[in-house]
Amino acid sequence: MNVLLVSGSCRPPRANTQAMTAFLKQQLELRGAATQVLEVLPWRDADPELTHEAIAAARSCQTMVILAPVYVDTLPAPTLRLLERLCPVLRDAADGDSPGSPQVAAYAVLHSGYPEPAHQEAGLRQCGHFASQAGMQWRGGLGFGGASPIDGRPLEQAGRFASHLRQGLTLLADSIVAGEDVSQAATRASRRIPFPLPGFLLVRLMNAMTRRELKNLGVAEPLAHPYRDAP
Amino acid sequence: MRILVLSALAAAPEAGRPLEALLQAEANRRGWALDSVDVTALNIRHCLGCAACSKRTPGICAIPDDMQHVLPRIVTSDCVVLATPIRFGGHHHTLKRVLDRVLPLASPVWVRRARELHNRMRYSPMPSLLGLGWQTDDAPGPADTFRFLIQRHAVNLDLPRHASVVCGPSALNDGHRASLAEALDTLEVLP
Repeated sequence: MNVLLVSGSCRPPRANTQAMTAFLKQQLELRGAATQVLEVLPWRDADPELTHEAIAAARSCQTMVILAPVYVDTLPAPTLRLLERLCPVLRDAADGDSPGSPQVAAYAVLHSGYPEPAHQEAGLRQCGHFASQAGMQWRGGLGFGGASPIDGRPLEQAGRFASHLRQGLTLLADSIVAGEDVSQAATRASRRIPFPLPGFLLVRLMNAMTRRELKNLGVAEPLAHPYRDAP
Repeated sequence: MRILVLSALAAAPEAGRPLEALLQAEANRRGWALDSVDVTALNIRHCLGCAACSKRTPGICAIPDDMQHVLPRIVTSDCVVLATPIRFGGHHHTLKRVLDRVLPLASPVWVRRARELHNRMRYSPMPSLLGLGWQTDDAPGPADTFRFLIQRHAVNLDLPRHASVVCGPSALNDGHRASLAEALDTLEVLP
C-alpha cells in the first residue's frame, strides 16, 4: 500500500503537525505500508507549481492522509492552496482509472490547542469535500484538541500530554492498512483530553499561567488596543 | 454603517463583478459606506505562530506586510463581508490567508464562550459578519459547510451577529437579491 502524507506544517523544524506526521508514518511502515510525505512548506509564502515528484506521488498513492493544524476554524491557507493544486491531478487520475478500480482512500488528521472537538469540525468537513471533488473515497478524519503542550516534540517523548494522539494515530494506522473508515475507537481516543478539567477551572488555570508568563516576559500592556483609535 | 468587504471574488471574475455590484447596490440603497479590499492583490505572508501579537507587541503583528493596513479596518468597521468563491466548502486561499492573520485581535485572556475555550477579543464590540459565497454548482454539502464555517468564525471571534448567503450557478436573480437584503437586515446595527 502506498500512502501519501500531506503534512500541513508551516513551522518547522519543531511543529506539532510534523510530530504527528512522523508518528503516523512510523506506524504505517510498521504495518508494511510504503509512505511518502508531501510538505506544505513551499506554499507558505509562495505559490509554486507541483513538482513532477509530487504529481507522481499523488497519481500513484492508494491512500492520502491530510495532517494540518487548525487556523481560525479550519485549514490554514497554505494547506488549502496545496489541496487546490492537488485536486485536478487526483481527479484526472481517478477519471483515467478503469471502471471497478478501487478509489484512492482519503483521511485527515487536524489538531488545535483548544480542547473541544467543535474547533476541528469545519476543517474536517472541508477535507471531506476535497476528497469528494478529487474523486477519492472519504474515509473520515480525526480532530485532536489540547495539542499545544506537545510543543513540537516527538510524540514518544511528550509523555501523557500526547497519550490521546499516540493512541488515536495508532488506531488510525490500523484503519488505513485495513482499508476501513476511521474507527469509533480512534474517534473516542481523539476526543479524550489528557488532563480533563471542568471548564471554569481550566480557564482559571490557563489565565494564571498566562499572567505569570507575561510578567516574566515584562509585557507592560498585554490588553493593549493599538487600533482602537485608528482612522 | 461602515462595511468592510474582504473579497476574493477576483479569483472568479464571472461571478465577482455581478456579486460585487449587487452588494454595492444594497449598500447604496441603505446609505452605507462600502470599503472594498481585493485580497487576491494583497501581499500577505502566512502567520508565523510566533505569538508576538500576544506576548511581545500586544495587538500588533510582527510581520510588516499589507495585513498591517487590514487589521485596523476590521476593527473600525460595523460589518465585515467575506466575499469568496467557495473552495471545498470554505474560503478561497487568498481570503483564508487574511483570516489566518487576525490573531492580533485576540487578547491572551482565556474565557468560556458557547461552552468552549476561547480567547477574549481585544476590541468590543467586534463587527458583524456576512459570508457571501459563490459556487459553480448547486451542491448542498459545500454550501452548508460554508455557512457552518461562518457560524464558527462568529463564535471564535465573538462577533455579535452573522449571516451567510450562497449564490449558485444561475444568473443573479431576485432570489439572490432578497437573500442578501435579508442577511443585511439581520446585521444592521440599529442606533
